[in-house]
Amino acid sequence: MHEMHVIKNLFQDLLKLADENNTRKITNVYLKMGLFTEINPEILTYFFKEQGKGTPLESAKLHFADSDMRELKLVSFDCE
Amino acid sequence: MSKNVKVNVEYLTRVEGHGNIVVNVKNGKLEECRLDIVESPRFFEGMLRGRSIFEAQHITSRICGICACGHTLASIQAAEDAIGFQPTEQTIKLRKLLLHLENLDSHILHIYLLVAPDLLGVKSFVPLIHTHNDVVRRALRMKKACNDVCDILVGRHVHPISAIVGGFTKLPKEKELDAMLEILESIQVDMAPTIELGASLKFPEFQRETEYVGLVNDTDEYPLLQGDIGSTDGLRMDKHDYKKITNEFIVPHSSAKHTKASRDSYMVGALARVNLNFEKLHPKAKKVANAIGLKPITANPFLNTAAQLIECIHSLEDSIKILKEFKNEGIDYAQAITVGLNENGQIPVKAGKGVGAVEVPRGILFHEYEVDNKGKIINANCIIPTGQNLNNIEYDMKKLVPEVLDKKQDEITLLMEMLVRAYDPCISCSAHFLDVKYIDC
Repeated sequence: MHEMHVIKNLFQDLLKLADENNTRKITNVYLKMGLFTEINPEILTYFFKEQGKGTPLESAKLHFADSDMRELKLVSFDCE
Repeated sequence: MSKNVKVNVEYLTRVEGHGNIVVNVKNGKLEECRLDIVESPRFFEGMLRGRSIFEAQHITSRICGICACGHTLASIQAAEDAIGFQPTEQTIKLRKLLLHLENLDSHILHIYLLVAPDLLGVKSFVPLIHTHNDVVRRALRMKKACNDVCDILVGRHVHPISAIVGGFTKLPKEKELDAMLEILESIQVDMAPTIELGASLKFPEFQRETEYVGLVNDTDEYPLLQGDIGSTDGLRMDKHDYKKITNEFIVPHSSAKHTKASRDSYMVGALARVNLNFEKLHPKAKKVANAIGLKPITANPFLNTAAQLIECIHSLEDSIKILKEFKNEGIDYAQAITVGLNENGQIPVKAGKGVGAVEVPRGILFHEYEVDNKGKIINANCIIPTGQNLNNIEYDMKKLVPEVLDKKQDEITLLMEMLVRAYDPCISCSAHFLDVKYIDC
């Protein structure tokens, strides 16, 4: 239920940042995800792929790092 | 050439629900104010099509983990209405008990864990563990008590098992009646400090008259499970005519439909019920309502939380009364019924349409089913209280924002969040569910 909303916000930020950094393509996105977030990484990845079609994020890979905190953070991204 | 860009943006506070408040003020004048509901539709009505009417309550209870019992009861009521089944008085009374327990459980959750942090000046209930440890412990003790009693009555509170079309698969034994009574009487002690806490909370001053909608009846009973649909504007109609009240319509910024009755919007929930049926509350509840100055018709939506407090007292006292009556009168265990999917035709089935209209914690909930002569669902419709309140929340925001424009932006943000939270919206984890977006402010 929550994942689509997260992806919508994440894309909004990434596409804005991609534009600011004059990049054509985002290749990797690094997230940090902790406990009790009620977010399912598998569903998040699915929406990430679907939402990415036709955008600079089309072939980007999503990477998750564990965290002990209750958090979901966009840490960084690789771009070309 | 590839490069790595450091960002560090937190998403979680934007996640715990699916609502955005959008405020657009230009030159000190409010141009736009709306509550976007961006969560995806869940298609429960579609899932029900083709399923047996005897499993509908188990499917629809999954709509909500907090109001699972309410959905179960609205579903059962609609199913029994559709096939023409009349439940026994004992069954109805046990269902009323179940509804009381859910209202109590949900209201305690809202008052203590979602609203109190706002009014005690902290961001969530977690800091309260350090600053108001006794308050958190009391809240959890009271919630546990409700869950424990539900466990005994229907197997579990979240997605109950034994409440079915036709009655209950299992009826509480005498020692279980004693156990339920003991648990509920034990939290009577906690109700006094709960009232004290409620009375000490300072709710924002705000008034906006609106129409209040809920169940009404001609008896002395505070209607939660049965009744006609009524409103403070004088509407009264049979539950089968619920669409004449809800008049659902679509707005572009919300995936949930909006509703309206006599005016542009209406409110459902504890405040609506108290405004409609104040005189029918338990005397102890009425006494506290009078003491804190809550009387019909209260037009401050922030006081929905105070109305929930009043309902807590009512539900606890009425639950104890029901259990004492069962202890005195006994339970007819021959009424326990196991139906399954009615493979053995235990309950006669005919084609028809039925409506369930039940007061759940956040307001009046409607389920409507159309079934064929084999008990398969052809069509279903569920109208959830939070959906009915959305339009009213927007009208409240449109009145509130111009009144507080002289405040700082973070103060306005908090007030807007508090307003939405006062409605106890069933958008998961509403404690911090909102993005407040300002345009050109």
